[in-house]
Amino acid sequence: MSAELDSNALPSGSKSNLPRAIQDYLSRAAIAPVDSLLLSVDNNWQWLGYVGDLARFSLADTPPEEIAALLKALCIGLPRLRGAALKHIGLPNGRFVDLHLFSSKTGVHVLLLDAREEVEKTRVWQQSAQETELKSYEKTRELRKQRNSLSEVRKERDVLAWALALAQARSGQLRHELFATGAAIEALAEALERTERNAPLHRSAAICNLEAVAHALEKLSVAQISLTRNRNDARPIAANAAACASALLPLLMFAHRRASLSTPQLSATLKLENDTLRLSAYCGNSDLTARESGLVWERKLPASSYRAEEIDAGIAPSWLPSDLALVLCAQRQTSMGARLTRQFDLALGLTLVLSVPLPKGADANTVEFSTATAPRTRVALAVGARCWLLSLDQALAQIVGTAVESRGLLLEQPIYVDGLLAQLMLSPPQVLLIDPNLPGAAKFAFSARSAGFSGLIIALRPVVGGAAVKAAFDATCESLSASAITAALFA
Amino acid sequence: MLGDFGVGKTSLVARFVHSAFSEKYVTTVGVKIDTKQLEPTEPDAPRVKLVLWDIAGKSALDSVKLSYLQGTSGVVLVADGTREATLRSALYLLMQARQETNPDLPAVLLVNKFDRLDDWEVTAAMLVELRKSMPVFEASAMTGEGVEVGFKALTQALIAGAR
Repeated sequence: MSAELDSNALPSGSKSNLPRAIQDYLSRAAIAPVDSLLLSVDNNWQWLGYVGDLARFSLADTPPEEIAALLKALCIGLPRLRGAALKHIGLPNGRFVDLHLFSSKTGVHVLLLDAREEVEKTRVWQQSAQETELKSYEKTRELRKQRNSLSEVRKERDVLAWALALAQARSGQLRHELFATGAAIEALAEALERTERNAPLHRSAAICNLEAVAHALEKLSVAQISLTRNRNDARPIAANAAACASALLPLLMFAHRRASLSTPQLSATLKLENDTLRLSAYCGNSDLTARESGLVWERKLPASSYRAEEIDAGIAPSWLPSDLALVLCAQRQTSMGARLTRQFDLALGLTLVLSVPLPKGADANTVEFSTATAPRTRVALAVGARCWLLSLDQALAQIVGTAVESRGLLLEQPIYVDGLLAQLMLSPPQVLLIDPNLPGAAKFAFSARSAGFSGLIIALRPVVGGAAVKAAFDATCESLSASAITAALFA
Repeated sequence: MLGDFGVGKTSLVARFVHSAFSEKYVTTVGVKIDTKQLEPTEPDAPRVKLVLWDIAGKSALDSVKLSYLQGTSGVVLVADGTREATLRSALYLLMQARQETNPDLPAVLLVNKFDRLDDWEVTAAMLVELRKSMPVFEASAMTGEGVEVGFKALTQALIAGAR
């Protein structure tokens, strides 16, 4: 298929119907005319005509004005010099051409040369080379990941080695304590023998000691004490009995379930059974009756009063009574003027840093959870600070709402839609709480950071369990995404 | 479209123009031309026809590639979020393009493969810095996220420049 060009644009009668200058150009470049198509447009890029086979370039069905518009787009910016060229042009119809531009008196000639073969050859080796490089990069990335994992495992191993060393040291200490306890038992046996010998003399003193223990415990527990004792005439606290009672609570705290203490006058045991603390004290004085020589003190742990504290800390309601007892003991310790900081590993596998560094006289525990900004450190948020919660889980939202609002923070739960990022940046809250189960949450967190959001980003990691969703604040940013969001990002 | 090889320039164009995506990697040789007519979003806005030159990926432009830039109105820089080096390549290519054409050549940066965020080496902090000098979009040719908005941002810049 061919057609004559405008006679003003192209000379007629030539062998290939191409202008002489272009024929010379093709000859010099050793290009067969059969592989070429000459298109002509005027100076306003209006179609004039063509020489060659349009079908060979898949242009046979393209309207001339579209071809002219395409030529204009292709040649824009090209100098109108003889042979100004662009190589390897992939036309929208999929054909590859080399393009040469020639100016003429009437406009522009655009010579298209078929470049399919050359492009295909280039594609074969280029594809192979680039695929190899990309695969190599992926392998390097995998290797780097494995190295990081190895490094993590080594760190973990070091930690475990430390723990082992500490445990061994502790084991040695326990052996020493056992030996000391044995010696104490011997001493106690001797003391009991002495006591038995002098029983009548010690009768009133022993009763006094039992009452003193009860009195001391009563004083320690401010309310709801159910105390059963054999006599009502509490007398002034004997120095040794008061020391015994106050020593038992910290002992229980560290022994978890049972603490015992013996003095020459009495032996006392403080036990934790389910949610009840029970003290049994006995006097070995044979002059006393069974009723007189025994004392039982029970206290049901006020678990319900700790419920708010549990929710406040984002801890699941299955906190063990033993842990509650520890909190109770810690509270008592602080009321006795001690300062205590301890980490509890809870049954859910969560870690809660519970610290009780309260000034003397304070009567509440402070339960802190770590944050994404600085794991396991406290973050001060002023009362009235705004928190955004991104979650579709209403049960979680309720728990979080209780926790956040009880701290004097304002909780907002925006609708998770397109354009939320812009909304966030328009009026950024101080805290962004994200439910990692929400699709796209990790991406949103990343986008927020990359858009310049400088507030805290905290991931809420719910633990599925029944109707009441157990939620815990896990403040490590790793929970959002394994590697994309790094600690450095939040620095 | 400028960027290192394998960053997804062709895929982004395919997503933008044809709403299509293919997992298969096919290298681009030379330059691939595509067009897209954008309908005006406002009554007085002009109709715009984008002619997209998807230039074969390289970390630097040689003389052949530079010839493709003659007459360019703006640049869509493309980097692969999972390969930090491609971000540096993109910035170097922009510098070359501006030297060759116009020091104020409008540009937007699409950081592709947002669907593989877990593998990203490009950090949010880097993008924060880059946003100070040009519009930056996290994009995914696979999901289409950030693609249209990125191209339209460049279009708006071109229209504003033309006025």
